[in-house]
Amino acid sequence: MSSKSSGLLFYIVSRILLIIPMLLILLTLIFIILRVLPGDPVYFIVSPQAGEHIIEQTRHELGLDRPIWEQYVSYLMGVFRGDLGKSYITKDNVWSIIGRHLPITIELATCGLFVAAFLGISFGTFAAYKSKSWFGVFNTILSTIAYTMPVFWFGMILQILFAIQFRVLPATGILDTSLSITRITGLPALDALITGNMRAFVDHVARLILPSITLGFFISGNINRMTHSNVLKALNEDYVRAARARGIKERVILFKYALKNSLIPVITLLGMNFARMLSGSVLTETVFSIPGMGSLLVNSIFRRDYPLVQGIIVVYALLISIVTLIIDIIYAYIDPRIRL
Amino acid sequence: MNIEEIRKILRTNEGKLMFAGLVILVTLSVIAIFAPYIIPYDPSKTTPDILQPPSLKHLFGTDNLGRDLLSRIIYGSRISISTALLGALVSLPLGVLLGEISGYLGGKIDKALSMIMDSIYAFPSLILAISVATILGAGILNTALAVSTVFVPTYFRVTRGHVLSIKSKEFVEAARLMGASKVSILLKDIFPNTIASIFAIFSVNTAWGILIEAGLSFLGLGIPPPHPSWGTDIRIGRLYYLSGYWWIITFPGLAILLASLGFTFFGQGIQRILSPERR
Amino acid sequence: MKLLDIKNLRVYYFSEEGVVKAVDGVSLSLNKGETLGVVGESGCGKSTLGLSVLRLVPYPGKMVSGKIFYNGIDLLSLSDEEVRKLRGKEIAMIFQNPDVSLNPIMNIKEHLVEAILTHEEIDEREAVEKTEEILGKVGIPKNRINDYPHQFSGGMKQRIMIALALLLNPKLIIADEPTSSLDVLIQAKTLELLRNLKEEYGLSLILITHDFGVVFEESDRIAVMYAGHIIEIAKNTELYDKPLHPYTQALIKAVPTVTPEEQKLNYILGMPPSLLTPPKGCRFYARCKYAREICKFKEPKTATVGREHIVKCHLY
Repeated sequence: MSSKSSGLLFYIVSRILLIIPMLLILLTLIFIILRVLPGDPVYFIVSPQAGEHIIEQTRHELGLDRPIWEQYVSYLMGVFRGDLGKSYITKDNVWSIIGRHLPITIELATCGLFVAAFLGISFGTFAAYKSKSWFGVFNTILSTIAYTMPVFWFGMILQILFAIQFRVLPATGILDTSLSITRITGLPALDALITGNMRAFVDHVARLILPSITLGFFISGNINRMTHSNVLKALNEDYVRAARARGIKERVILFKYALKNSLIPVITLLGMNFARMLSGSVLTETVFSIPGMGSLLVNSIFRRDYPLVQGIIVVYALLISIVTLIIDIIYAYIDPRIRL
Repeated sequence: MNIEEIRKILRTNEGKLMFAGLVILVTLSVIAIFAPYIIPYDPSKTTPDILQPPSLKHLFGTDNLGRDLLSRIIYGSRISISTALLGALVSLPLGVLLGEISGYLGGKIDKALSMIMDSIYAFPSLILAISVATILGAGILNTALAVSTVFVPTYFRVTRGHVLSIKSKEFVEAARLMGASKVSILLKDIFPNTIASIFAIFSVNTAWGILIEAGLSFLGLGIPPPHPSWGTDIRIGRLYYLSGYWWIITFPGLAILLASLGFTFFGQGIQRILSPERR
Repeated sequence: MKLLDIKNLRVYYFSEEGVVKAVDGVSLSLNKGETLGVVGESGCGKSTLGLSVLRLVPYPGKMVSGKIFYNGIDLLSLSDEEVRKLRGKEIAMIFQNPDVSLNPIMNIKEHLVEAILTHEEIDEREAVEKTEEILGKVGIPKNRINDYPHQFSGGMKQRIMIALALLLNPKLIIADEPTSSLDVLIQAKTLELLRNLKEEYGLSLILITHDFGVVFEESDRIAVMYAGHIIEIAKNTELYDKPLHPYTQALIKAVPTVTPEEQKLNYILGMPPSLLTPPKGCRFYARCKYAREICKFKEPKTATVGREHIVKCHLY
């Protein structure tokens, strides 16, 4: 047992070491896009018609008059010191602004993930089990539509149907204007529960339903396809045939033998889909007026708040690296073959 | 590939979906090419008939400025599809070239390039495109460039994988023994074998490009308003759709879905036919 | 008393290329306590025959006609659930490749306990005890009960498969090439284990293999299969001393060499016919040195020669 856990520990450490270059590459990429591409970030803040003096002053404030490599080093140092600068508009620390919006995106992404996993795994498994019937083809089309669909449009259609036509769910926002939630963790649903504010909790959860379905259905496409093909493959494995020959029940074979074995790669896929989920959340938050990271990004672009834009994108890179790491560790934990 | 083989492929479900994708693509291309001749109204001409629901006169209704939505969607196909095609095309040479170099040379260069590409691939594509679009500014060409950054890793991956798998094959070995240079082996022997796979990725990327362009335009970072693009039309409709004018966003969205579905079915069909499991 | 009686069984695969007649009119019976060897080249339909007894023929295969009686029960008339209850409990199967026959994410204990609890209503502690006992019999130490399949060697995995087959005291075991993926030394040990356990448990065994040497070593009676047909059945010594069918004769000539590699060299010239479009007459016609005009057009009937010696050839 001790050799096993030390093997796992070694694996985790090596994974953490592998994440560092990935993070560096992403940070460099962001730097290249924001500073090196032919587009002067100064004009991002001041109008080109502004006076020479103002342009120069802004350039100096942003540190853009220094040599490129110096800018690069100070940018990296800033990120690793945890200093992302100050917002141009509100003069607040970028970290603290992000800290207010990130939990909301995390909440939405988590709910979306559950919807996606539920839809994708149940449809995919059923389609594999019934692969010879019409449901197999139907599911292939459905899953392709899910990920080739403009996610913001799907959200709007859901709003038209459930908020305007049937009037069963609210269309936008995360809380009725007459209510408020005391901030503790930053996650609205959790905070409402902790403070015992049930009215706010119910209202908030009702407003989360449509955005979660929007994001979840979008992400479910990939999961559905992979579950479908993996379960189908697993059902043809020799160990499934051997289990059938032992009289193991079909239900057990489908879930314990085929599905459980198929879920390991599906979990990796969930990790890879985290990036798509962040993309999708930008659009979903915009459609549903949810004040998360995506809305913050779009708003700060329009307000030309350059340090905030850069900070948000850096935080996205950090998130991607952390989630990649977590998925790797979960993967090692589930699959006994990797531990050795 | 002979006729019998094609028939066999068309009998499978994947084959049928690929054929459906092809039909969608051909139809859309015809519509886009002959757009000026088939539109019932001028797509940018404002009229007093604002926010009219779908009727025989305006099949898809009209928008807030009284413009005919059907005409706008038909005309929009030109901009939406060509932006996506351009985006998928611009990144192709770079991705393929890097993939060939990486796969063929191997070693440290391969490791470094793969790592860079994997990292870019792991980053949210829309957010990457948003960053590029933000710096470059709105516009058709800039949007295509923003879209294209996302695709470099996809071409890289498929080319590299392909090069690795055929590098060891006999005919490449033979060419090397006969003293062919690395460059000529890459160009003459390896590249032709990867074309089909790259074409499949190109098709899937175009579908993706349509979605990214639509997303950027919807956020106001893509195609600027006077041009009719599907994403921009939905952005315009944002102010009205919750007041009961559902058609303003519904039809442009369906057009986006149809186009990206067509490219995806077609591209995935090719991918699966080429996949080693089938051979 | 016959434990298993297969009557004129036809199992066809309805593939995209056409109908593959893998088992095409096979009749065969097995007595209690007997070991019956089914021998033939790969692709002759012997594995399909084994699978059809458990009704495990994979898609797009179908049992087209015929009957299979087990202890007097017509297996083909049972419901899926009734057949499932027989599997493992009455009839067990051992497959060719132990490396892929165990679920990679379940440990050994889980495999065995699950099988016990599927068929018997006992508590888990008793099931674990039973598991340890049977693993002891096949020589897997107790302390490895929580290990996963990838931690065992091929020979050990096959012994675990044997334990899984014996676990519920079935009356019949169908072993499909149980040793052909193992190396020669382990092969002999595994066969010895199987033989001893068969005696101890009073089992009946169908041993499906392409290896004539193994079949002569292990079986009481032998059925020779060729291209979807059974072409000869006889007692072990009778078949060895007096093979009737030209195919059997040629095969036996190939046996007395030392290693399997040499054995292959002595094989009969030519290839078995495609089961997609089997020839109209005798299926061995193209490779047979005694072939006559009639063999080309007319399928031979089965003839009984002497005591329990059945042959399907126009010569008899």
